[in-house]
Amino acid sequence: MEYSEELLELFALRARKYCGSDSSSLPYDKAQMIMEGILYCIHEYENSNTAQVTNGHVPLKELYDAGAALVMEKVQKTRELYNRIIVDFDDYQVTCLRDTVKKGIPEFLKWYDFRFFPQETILTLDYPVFLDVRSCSGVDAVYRFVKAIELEMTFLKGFERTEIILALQQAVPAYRSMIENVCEIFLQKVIGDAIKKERKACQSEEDIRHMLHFMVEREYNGDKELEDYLFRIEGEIWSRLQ
Amino acid sequence: MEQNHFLETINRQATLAALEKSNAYTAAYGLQLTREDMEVLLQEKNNTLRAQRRVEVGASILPKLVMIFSDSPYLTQENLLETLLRLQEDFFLFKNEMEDEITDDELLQFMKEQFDGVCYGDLEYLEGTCLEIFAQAIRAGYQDYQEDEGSGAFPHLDIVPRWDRGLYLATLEELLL
Repeated sequence: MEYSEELLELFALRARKYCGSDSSSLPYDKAQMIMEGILYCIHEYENSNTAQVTNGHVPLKELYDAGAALVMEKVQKTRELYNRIIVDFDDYQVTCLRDTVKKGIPEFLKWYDFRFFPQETILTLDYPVFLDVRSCSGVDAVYRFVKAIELEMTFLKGFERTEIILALQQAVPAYRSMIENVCEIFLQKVIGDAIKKERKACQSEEDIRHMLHFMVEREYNGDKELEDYLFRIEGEIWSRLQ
Repeated sequence: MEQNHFLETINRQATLAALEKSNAYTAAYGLQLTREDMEVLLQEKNNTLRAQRRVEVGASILPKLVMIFSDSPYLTQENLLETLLRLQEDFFLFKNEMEDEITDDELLQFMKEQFDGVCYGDLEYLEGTCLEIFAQAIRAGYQDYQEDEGSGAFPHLDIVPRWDRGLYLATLEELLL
């Protein structure tokens, strides 16, 4: 492997930094975590828009430094996004949603070690969302999660709070302790109502997507991210109905 | 572990050079490590690291170990290599046993103080009693040793009765009866 020696040199450098003057050695599991942290940062750079295609050899340390800077940037972005959504965040009386967002995320921001262990997600992110948070880890997973919560809150704020809680109550009597997505349950009601109201216009998945598209155009200024998110939820609901 | 061999290689020359230097210091106590001794120490250190599933990433602990223990009254040219081998093995073993809660310097300080003190140079007593008790205390959250970097910690934890006047008289009485 072309990079293997450079990678080990980088590992030695990071491990020495981690140990500081306290220790000259560290256990394998910690060493493995440091190595995973290095690879996480390199992947962060490779998967970013800033990654440049070069023909020449780029020192691994440079890739790592660029990736580490991106991780730090993402932590800041997550913090800003969280601070923005928490102002008018509503848990709709669902404990799992409240605990994950109000208790979990601040703990993550408090304890996340982006210098040495950026791959650690720390949280289990129990509240289920419709952005894929399981395929990634660290700040990538938490950022996606907070983003999903932002989109859900944007959608739900377009409706009356009591209407949402009523829909939850009807779908899941013990809704306060459920570990299910609030948005999914409510969107199911919205789609159900639309089917009842306009039988002819809502006969296929395509029709429902049209209906959601017009709703987002009309009520949410054509928010494309929100539309994509609602399509994901709708896809899940539709496949279940089928 | 592939990375271990790489790190061993890059550390090797630096460690040998540091050990050569430490010879100049230990000469004052009549102790000298031959090149062969150094090679044995290095080889055994790498074996111990593998056995204890650890990676050495900074400057090797060996030269420091040699320097700290060199003024011990229980270290002679005759037992030098054998003792150093045991001490470095204990060092990595107890670094793990103490879950890395203690720094290198604190652990070395503690080992040296007990080796010269209550152990009277007995390595088995150092390993089986002093370090064992200390490791248990550290795992249970004991932190007072940090104030003096591992110095003077053992008397607070020692559960073994020492030969003070009371104990001496009690034992004498027992023997006479």
